[in-house]
Amino acid sequence: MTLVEVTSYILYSSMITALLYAVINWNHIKNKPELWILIFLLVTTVLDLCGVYFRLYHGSKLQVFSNLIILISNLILSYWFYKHIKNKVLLFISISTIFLSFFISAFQQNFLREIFYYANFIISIILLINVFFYLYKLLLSDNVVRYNKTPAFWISIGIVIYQINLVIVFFLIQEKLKLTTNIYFTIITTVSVLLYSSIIYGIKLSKDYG
Amino acid sequence: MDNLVLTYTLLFILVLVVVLGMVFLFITFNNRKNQLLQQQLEDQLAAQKKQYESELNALRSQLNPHFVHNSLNAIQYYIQRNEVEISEDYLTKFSKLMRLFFDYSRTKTITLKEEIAFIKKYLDIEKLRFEDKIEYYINIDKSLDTTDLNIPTMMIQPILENAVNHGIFHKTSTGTIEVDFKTTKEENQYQIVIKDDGIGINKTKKHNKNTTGTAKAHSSTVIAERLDILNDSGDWNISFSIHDRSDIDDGTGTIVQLTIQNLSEL
Repeated sequence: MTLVEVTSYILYSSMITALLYAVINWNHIKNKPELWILIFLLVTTVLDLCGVYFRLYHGSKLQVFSNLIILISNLILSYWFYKHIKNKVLLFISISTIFLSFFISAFQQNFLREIFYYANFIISIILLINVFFYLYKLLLSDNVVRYNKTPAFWISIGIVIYQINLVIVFFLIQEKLKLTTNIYFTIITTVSVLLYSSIIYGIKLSKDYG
Repeated sequence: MDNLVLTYTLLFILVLVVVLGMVFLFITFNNRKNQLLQQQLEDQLAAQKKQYESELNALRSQLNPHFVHNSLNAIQYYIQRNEVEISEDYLTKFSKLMRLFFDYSRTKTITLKEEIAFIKKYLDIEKLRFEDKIEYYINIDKSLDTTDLNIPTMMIQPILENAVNHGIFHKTSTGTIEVDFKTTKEENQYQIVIKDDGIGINKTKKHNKNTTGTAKAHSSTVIAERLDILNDSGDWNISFSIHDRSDIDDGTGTIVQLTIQNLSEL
């Protein structure tokens, strides 16, 4: 088994574990903003597994599933942040920027066969801004006294690590790095595992502390 | 090879930056959390202190209505007997005491000197009411600086009131009350001993069981509540003991000991 295969197994296992954990704890999150995290996990897992299926069984090189993940999952995350930040202007700017960057990429690249890297870069920046607003709001609120028991805090930490990795490693210093397939998959798996672990921990906190 | 080294170096720097960023984030949140918790604690303490003060105010102003009623009755008695001088003297002393009482009700502490003057006025009135059936002595240690030391207002009067109404009142012969103010070895601390030669607390309890006894119980509760609040406030350390003198020596009556230390001025 190659390193790429091992990391892929780890990545998909952590993703499916997070989804199953969210489904199991449905009762604890159904009336909370974390419901949107479950939808995020569902969309990401289904689309990712569709991509894997077509790649493995049909030898397809379609990137449409990756592009759909970039678009839909980040829209969901923006809405999840809105549920916490309650800032309509930020939501509007986030959604508009996501769509705009996506459409601009669609004019320049092939939606079916190429990953929209630049749209992904812009969307990552937008999500990082949302994280910043959320953490700033939490810092100023009285809820900061129980920040380490706040589900959204930990999920935001996971998102920050994941998005910073995307922005810096895969866009800003990509040319300076000689990313072999092994390094690439190791990085993407590590940050993905951190993201899904933070989601699992966030849902656990939601269950434990309400 | 150079490229690979550069890649690992950059990735290491990136990981380091992210880890440091996370550490900074957690430190910031933790500091803010501690700051807020401290603020909440301070607010809570301030609210508690405010509550204590209002409770103390309420307790301070609980001058026994029986005392007022009895004093007015006594004045009326002297007026009816046409003893103008005595009744005038009584009325003057009573109005002065009332004035002091209302003044002190608004303040938390007074000097020991003021408290001694206050209890003298009180005992003088009781003496008039009981037509000299009461004798009192106030002894002050020479080394005790009564102008410098403070005492919570209306601290001794309720104890004296108990001594008069529940100790000496039931005695057939003349009763004596002795109040001693003594220094202690501790800084900002002094002791007050109130002795009477009345029927004693044991007999009073027995007597109260046979009658309603609510007044005595009420004033004792007020004293205990006040002492609890004062000790909880952290400004005072007051110990209180009450004994029947027959339990200690061959004497009769009650002995009350108060050891008062003002912690706020230490």
